[in-house]
Amino acid sequence: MKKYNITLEKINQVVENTDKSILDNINIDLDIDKSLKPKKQQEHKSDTVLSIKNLHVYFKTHGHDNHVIRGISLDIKRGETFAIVGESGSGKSVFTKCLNGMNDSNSKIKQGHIYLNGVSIHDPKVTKRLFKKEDTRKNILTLFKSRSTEQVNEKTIAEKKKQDSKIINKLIKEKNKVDFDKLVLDKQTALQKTCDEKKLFYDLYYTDMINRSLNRKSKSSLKKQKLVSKYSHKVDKLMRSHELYFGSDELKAIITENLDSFKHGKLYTTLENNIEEISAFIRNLKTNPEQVEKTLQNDFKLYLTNVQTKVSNYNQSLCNTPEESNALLSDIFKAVNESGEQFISEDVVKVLLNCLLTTVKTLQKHYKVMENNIYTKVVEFVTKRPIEVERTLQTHAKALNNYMLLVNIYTEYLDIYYNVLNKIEDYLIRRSSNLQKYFMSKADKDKQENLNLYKEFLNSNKEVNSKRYKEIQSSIESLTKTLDKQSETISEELNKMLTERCLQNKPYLDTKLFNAEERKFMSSFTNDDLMYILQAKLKLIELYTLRKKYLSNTEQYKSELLNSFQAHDIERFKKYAKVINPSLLRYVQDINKAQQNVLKVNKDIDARIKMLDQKLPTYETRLELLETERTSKVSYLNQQIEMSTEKIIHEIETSDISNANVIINLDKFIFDVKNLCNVDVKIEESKLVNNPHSDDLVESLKRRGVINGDTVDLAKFKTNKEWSMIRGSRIATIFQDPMTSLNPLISIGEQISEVLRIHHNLSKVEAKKEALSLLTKVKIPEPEKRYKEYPFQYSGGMRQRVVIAIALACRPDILICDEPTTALDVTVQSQILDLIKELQKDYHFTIVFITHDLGVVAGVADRIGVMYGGQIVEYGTDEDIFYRPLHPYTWALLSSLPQLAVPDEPLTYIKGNPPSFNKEIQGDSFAPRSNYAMKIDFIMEPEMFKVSETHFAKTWLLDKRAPKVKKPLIIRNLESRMQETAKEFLATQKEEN
Amino acid sequence: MSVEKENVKVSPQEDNIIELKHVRIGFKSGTQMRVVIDDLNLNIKRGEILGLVGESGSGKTTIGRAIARIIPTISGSILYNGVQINGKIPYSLDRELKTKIQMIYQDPSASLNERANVDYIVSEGLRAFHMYKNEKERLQKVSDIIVRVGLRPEHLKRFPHEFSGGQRQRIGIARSIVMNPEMIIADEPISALDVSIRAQILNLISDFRREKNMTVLFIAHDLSVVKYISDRIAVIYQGQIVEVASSDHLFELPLHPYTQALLTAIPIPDPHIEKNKQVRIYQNTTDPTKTKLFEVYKDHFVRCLPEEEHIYRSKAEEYYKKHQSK
Repeated sequence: MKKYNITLEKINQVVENTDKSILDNINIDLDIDKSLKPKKQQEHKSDTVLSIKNLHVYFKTHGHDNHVIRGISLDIKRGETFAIVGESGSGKSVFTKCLNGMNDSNSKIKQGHIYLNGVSIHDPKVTKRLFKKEDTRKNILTLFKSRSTEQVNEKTIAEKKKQDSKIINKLIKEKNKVDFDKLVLDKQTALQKTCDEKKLFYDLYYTDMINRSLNRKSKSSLKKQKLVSKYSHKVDKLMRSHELYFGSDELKAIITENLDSFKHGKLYTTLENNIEEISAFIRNLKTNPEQVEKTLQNDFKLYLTNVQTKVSNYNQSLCNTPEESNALLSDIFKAVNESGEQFISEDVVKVLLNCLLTTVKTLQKHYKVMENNIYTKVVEFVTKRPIEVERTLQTHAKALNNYMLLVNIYTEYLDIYYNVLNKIEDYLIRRSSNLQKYFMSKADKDKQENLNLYKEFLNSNKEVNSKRYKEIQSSIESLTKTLDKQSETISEELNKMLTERCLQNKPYLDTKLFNAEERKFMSSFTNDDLMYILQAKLKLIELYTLRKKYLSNTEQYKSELLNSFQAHDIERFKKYAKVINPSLLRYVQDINKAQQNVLKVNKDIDARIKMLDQKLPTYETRLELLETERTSKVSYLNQQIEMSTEKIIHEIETSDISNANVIINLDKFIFDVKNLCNVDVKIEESKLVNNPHSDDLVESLKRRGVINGDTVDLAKFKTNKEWSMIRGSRIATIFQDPMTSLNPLISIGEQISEVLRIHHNLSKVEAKKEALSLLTKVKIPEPEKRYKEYPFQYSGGMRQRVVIAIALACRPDILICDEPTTALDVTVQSQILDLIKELQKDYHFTIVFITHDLGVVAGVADRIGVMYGGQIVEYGTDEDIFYRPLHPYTWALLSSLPQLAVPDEPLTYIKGNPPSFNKEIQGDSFAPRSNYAMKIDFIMEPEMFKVSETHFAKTWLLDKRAPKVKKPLIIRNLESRMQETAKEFLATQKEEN
Repeated sequence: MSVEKENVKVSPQEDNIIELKHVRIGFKSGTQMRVVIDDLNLNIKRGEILGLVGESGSGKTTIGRAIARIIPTISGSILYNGVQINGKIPYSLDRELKTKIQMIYQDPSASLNERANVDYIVSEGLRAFHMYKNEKERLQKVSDIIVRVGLRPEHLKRFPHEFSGGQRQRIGIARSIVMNPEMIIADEPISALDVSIRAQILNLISDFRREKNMTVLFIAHDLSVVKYISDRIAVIYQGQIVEVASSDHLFELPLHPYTQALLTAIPIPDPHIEKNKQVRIYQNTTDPTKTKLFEVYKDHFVRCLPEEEHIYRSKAEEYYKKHQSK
């Protein structure tokens, strides 16, 4: 026995040493009672987990709003069990579904808040991501695992057990005490080892945690710097762009930069095409004579020959008949007129002039012939008739007239030529306007570029125009010269002709061959002739004047052109200014905006910096948490060790050495301790290890005001993603029907381990281990075998146990039990209730228990709220509700319990149906069904009357003015009835007790 | 004296409407036969409400269904007014039984034809057995029963989904009572209902029993409900009747440990008692083939080993003496 004592002392020493070392590190007092067995009542006063404030929920059906939850205000305290009791249709389920965001899509929280206190929430996905990044942690874990797995492996353990038992049996048989002592020693040294390992693990783990949090701190500061630099860079960029736009040199640079891209653009090609067209046109204009000569010379020659032949014909015909010749001439003119539009050039005019000259020459010849004829005719006339001579002379005059007509036509041609020039100008103007449109439509940078291009174009145009003016001028000058020459020659020739004729006629006149009458006629003839010549001269003068006119016109035109160009330029620039000004304004506005943005960004940065600063204390609190956790873990370990050692001592002391179970138990205990710490640490850690800095969702929620420090307003949650931070990990739910809440196609074990793997990133093996421990915790026999089975192989109670296991997998803060036992037997119901109570002691969660059965509530709830018509009608502690009920609805509920029923009397029940939410309820919602309804109940909704610190009821019966009411029989004798029922049902138990 | 012997000897007792003798019921699962109820003996007296209590899976519903000829028996006999009604029986008897024995089912939402209106649901049995002279009489019958059950005649044209759970269960009761049966098998008619509605349905069933002198086999798992409604209670555990007694005496003197466990499971609406009470879980340790049902006192049967009989008997005698003296 002494030997055992020594070993036990050693163990105790080791344990103490570990304690002291840890204590020294942490400097926190260990208080096992506080950390492991928190006293409920202390926590009751301290904090509320859920505080619901004036909650209003509407359901939209058929376009009508149903007011289902009508103003609920509640505080649910940490660690308590709050039961909500009411009929179906009173809104209990709707209310609780608001707490975990599982209400139907047509429901809406219109008013009120649901504050979840003392919770730091995070995105579970983020933790998953983080876990993968964390290498150091894994290393530590693997370090720890590699040692522990040897013993963790269950098969090896089983084998070891067998071996041990064999050895022990042998030893017992041999009664070899010394060896047995050795074995015990070995086992206890192993325990010591595990304790050391634990200590090492905790040290490593927590130092790592602290290091990581410090790292995070530094990282966050780095992030801060990065942010600042990033935004400053952005601002610089913005400012630079702003300068670029307004600096002339840089503008040029931009233009040159963009020129290449611009060249490849469509606009440039079209512009080029336009310019090419224009230049081609100009080139044509320049080369026109040559090209026209080349292209039209053939036609022209043909035409000329035609004309010449026609002229020759005419000449010939002149000989024959002057009228025909006239007709021919007119034909020629017509032809010339018609073709005039086609052939408009100097050469044409020249050719025509030549043609005219030839005609004139022919006319001269003809004239000579005529003179000869005249002469002969005169002779004939002298001999025969002077009138015929006169006629011939008249025809001559007509011919001259026609000649004048020709000159007129020539001038018309000039007109046409100018028209064409005008057209060209119009075309140019149109082009420019088109270009203008192009420029208008382009972006500002392009516009600048366009402007330059356009200026160049205009310059080139000007050059071309000036060239053309020169050409026109030269052509006009040449024309005028030729006209002058021709007119001179014509006049000279005519003069000559006339003088010659006169000289020639003189002898005739002088001759005395004629008689007086004849002389007179002759003189008159000469006079007429002279008159005719005079007329011709006058015509020539007109020609000169015309020429002068043209010259002046051309000058005018030139000036006009110039003016128009200038005007166009001005207009265009004005238009550009119009276009550019707003864009400039826009740029200015943009810059202003950018500056504002910069300010905003600065603010943001400030806010973030503030946030980061604020988070520093959270780190500290987290460290504290870690430390407290560590202490609790250590203390738990110690307690376990102590207990087990006590047990061992006890067993060893009481039993013989032959008790082999002692050693096996020791082994098992070591294994259990390891297992327990392994998974527990991991799960707690997954809740702690999340990094709120990388959590954008939480950030946005904080900005929206949903998260305020430790409190979260669940009423403002909207998306499933937001709810996923709360659901399961913070608030878990057990539903009424265990069959529908389990997937029939997936095995039970998988369904539990799935939750663990998703939420806590456990590996498959770890998750299975934890799932098995959960199954044993909810008291499912043979968990190893049951792990692989499917929901249909489970009975209802077992299924509900599995659902509870799944709900507890994440160690939630709040567990909502939505009628968990209504589908179950009475016996199973009581078992499940016991289980829930037991688990609450282990896990310290808050329960919100929903049921319609007040009997069920009595054993479970610390506080009870009676719900009716979407309102909490009465609430208080269990004693308040069961011993001193005040609301008629609570009375009705209690008296309808068959347990309390008076034998041989009909059961009391609540008449009518619960109120429909279709119409807005007036007054007390229970009034139509109540036996105690007063007039005021139908008019005004009663307020919540405070009866005591814990007890509240919403009925007018509590008003001072209300008459005293006789309560129903069962309620009056409530306590006696209760005792009776207790006697009835628990008679046997009391006997035994 | 054992019940078996008594039953065998005085077999066609006039006051017994139903007698179950050595009934054995099982289900085929694959090639194996899984026996659910083995060697069950039970009498149901005319005009009484017999509560059949047990946990789920104990075979309560199976017994009810076997009496209603929904499930066949393997062996044993079920006598109705002294006539065997299990196994092969003449067609005329089968038809007669269908009118005389009616069922009320557990789940009112699943047991009503969703596509038929209430009128059709209630009068379906009447149609099948031509229990009316003309249409007018049928309508009169249907509307009478629907009013009796607590609904209004205008509800006849509505469909089940338009009713609440309690109203549906009323329809279920109406359709079985309209046949004017001698016996009703109520298979957990209230377990899917709210507490306040439970009371209404219970009142309704007890009223009908009184009015029409029907016999009711009331199957339930909740002893508190059964205690209120039934005259006698039979406790069933794993396919075997464990204890039979009048409801008052069973509650005052629960002899079998399983009955005691069931009693502790009933939630008591008193927080102090409820929180301090310990729920017992009964686990059978004795071999069920060795145990037999003994009549410990008059009309009080307990299933136990023959060696234990005298203990129970002495307890019972002590109790009943006290009771009589009171």
